[in-house]
Amino acid sequence: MKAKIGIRFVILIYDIIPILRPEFFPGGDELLFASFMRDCVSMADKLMAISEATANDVENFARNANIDVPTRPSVLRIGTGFTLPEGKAELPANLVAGGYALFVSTIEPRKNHILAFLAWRRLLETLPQDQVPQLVFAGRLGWMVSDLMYMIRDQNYHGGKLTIIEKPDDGLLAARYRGARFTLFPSFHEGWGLPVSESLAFGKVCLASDSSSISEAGGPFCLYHDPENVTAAFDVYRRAIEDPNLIPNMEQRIGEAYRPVPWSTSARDMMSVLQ
Amino acid sequence: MTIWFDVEDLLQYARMASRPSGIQRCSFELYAAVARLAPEQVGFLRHDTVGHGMRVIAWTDVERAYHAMAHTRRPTQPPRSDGVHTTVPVLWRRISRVPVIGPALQTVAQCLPPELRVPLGQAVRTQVAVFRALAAAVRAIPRAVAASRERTSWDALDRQLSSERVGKDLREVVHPGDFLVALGAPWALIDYPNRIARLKAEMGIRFALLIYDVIPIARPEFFERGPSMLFSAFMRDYVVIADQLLTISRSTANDVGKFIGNESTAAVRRPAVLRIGTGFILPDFVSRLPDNLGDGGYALFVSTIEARKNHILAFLAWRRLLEVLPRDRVPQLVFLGRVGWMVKDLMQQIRNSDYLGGKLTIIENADDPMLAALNRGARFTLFPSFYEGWGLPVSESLAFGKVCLASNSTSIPEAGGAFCLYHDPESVSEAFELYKRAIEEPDLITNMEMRIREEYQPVSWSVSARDMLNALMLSDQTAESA
Repeated sequence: MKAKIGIRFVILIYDIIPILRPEFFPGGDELLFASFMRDCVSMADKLMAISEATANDVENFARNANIDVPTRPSVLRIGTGFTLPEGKAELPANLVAGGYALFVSTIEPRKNHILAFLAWRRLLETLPQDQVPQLVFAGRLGWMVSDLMYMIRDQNYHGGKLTIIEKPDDGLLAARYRGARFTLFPSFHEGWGLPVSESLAFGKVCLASDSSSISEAGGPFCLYHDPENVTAAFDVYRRAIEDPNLIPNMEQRIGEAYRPVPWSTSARDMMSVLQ
Repeated sequence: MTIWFDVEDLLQYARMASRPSGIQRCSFELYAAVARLAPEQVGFLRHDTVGHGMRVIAWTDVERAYHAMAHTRRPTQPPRSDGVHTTVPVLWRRISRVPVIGPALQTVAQCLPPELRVPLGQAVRTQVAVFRALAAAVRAIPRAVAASRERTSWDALDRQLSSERVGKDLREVVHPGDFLVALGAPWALIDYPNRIARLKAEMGIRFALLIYDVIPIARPEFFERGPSMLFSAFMRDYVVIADQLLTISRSTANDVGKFIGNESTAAVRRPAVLRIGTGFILPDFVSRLPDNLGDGGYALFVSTIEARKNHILAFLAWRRLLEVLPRDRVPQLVFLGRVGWMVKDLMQQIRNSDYLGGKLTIIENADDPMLAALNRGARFTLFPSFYEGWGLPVSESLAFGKVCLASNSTSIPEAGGAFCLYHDPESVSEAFELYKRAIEEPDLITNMEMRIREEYQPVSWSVSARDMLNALMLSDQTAESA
């Protein structure tokens, strides 16, 4: 079509994780994805990415694959969140406002639920039970986590301290964010980190992975840890629980300084790339 | 005082499996050492097939039964009493040597370590007929054909042991105050606590138990739920009826102490710690390395592949090594061990990564000569396990003169002492840094190997046996003075 009618082709790249971390994807996907990406990148007149980290990943990929890319992908500031409907949703019976840590994500290996699970075990070993917030995994069961789910069951859901809420329901989600003491997002690799900016939009601090794009999404409003270090995460979680001022001070900072990005900004960014 | 060792579980295990696993090897070495050290003070017992009594069995018969299973050749001359040179360290027999029990139990059993399979099998099906059926099923598996030939000879031996050579009833020879000691996995035997309780009441005998670990209680997430619950039920019974507990590490002693603390009914004292032996019997020869492995060109991780052993850490750390170092500088990563339970997703990740682009080799079935060859040729070894009762791959590595980059958790530093490099098993990043140093700093490993050569002292099984005898004697004095 480019040849026939002289149209120009621009593509927005969210991430190229199947190429960088194939281990997290059920077999075969990454091969398809890589060849698709190779074609797209070499054909595109312009590239756009949703984060600096993804732009870097694309640049490295192009270099390693010997693809000529005219310019570095332009980064769009993406909108902070999707509009979450306000359901009349109540919290589930075992959750009280301020009494739980919320981890919103499909349960799949890249999201690193195992880290939260192991760090919580250590919290329960070190702190009095009633001081440890309930750990809530909100997300559907994805792929390659059957062993993790076995571990969770064998551990009896940390003696009841771990709740898994599988049903996706945006109305409930808003209520869950509002009631969270803080949120978690220990993912190994992201193209952006939507649960992080979503958390900030609800005024909640996220204790997050410092990998890839996540610190772009969280800025100075999150507390970060190495996603490959359970001990480091445990230390951050513990501080957040034990230090009475840490989370309130950061929430105050979010209230004062955090500016959600409207989708019109993203749209404007895109238009200026195209012009 | 006579010390009686209950070897029934070893003999039953020999009937079901073609190879001993860790517990069988360790208990056998201890029996052999006490038989050597104090032949007048010890005796060995089988269970009566009818009733709850026990019968004496000659040590030579226990030895024959064990070797029929292990296919090990004893040195022709008896090993010296502290014979670390004749019993050069080798080889905790790994679970890979235990054939699949059989289709009947396979779905349950394939996810379990053998020490748990046996009791589960028994708990589910207690009849001898079932064992016969299982043995028949094993014979039907082509891979097990060779083993089944051996088993036939064992069956003959077993018949002989149980019919012609029935020993004296324990009642005829026992004295009040004698010790009955279980060094194996007696929780594998159905109704064992009741049997012991009856013997104690009837004969005034005392009971001692060697505990290898209580990991199913401490970290249930690494085990299937059913067996974990069985295990803690057994333990609860044992700590109540045992007069003396023994453990293989200070770390396990602490765990048992905690467990006893939680069990308010238990009146037993803190366990005594045995220093366990380093060495097993050397294979007759050492194999050649597999073709893709060069001497000094790989890091070796010997262990059944299961969640607790933390293969995922080595996998993730290796991924990072390959990201930061030139490919040819990164040693091959070798996992040596059977693919066990709760690692389906890890195996999928490994396949998705195309075995780290070919940098990861998994060897599922290695015999002792191959294991010896792989240990000898390793640049260093890895053992990032989350939780152990001892850490045999670590002391084995040292016995081969190889440095282990190991987890600093639980008993592992007891096994590795000053001769290993340690990292937090819950930090891939820390392990990665350590692995990187071991690869990049040319003197680090060489210097530590020199230190191992100069200072590492393997522990002989006689030392373990003496520790055990001392603990029981001490228990004896306390009892008399009380």
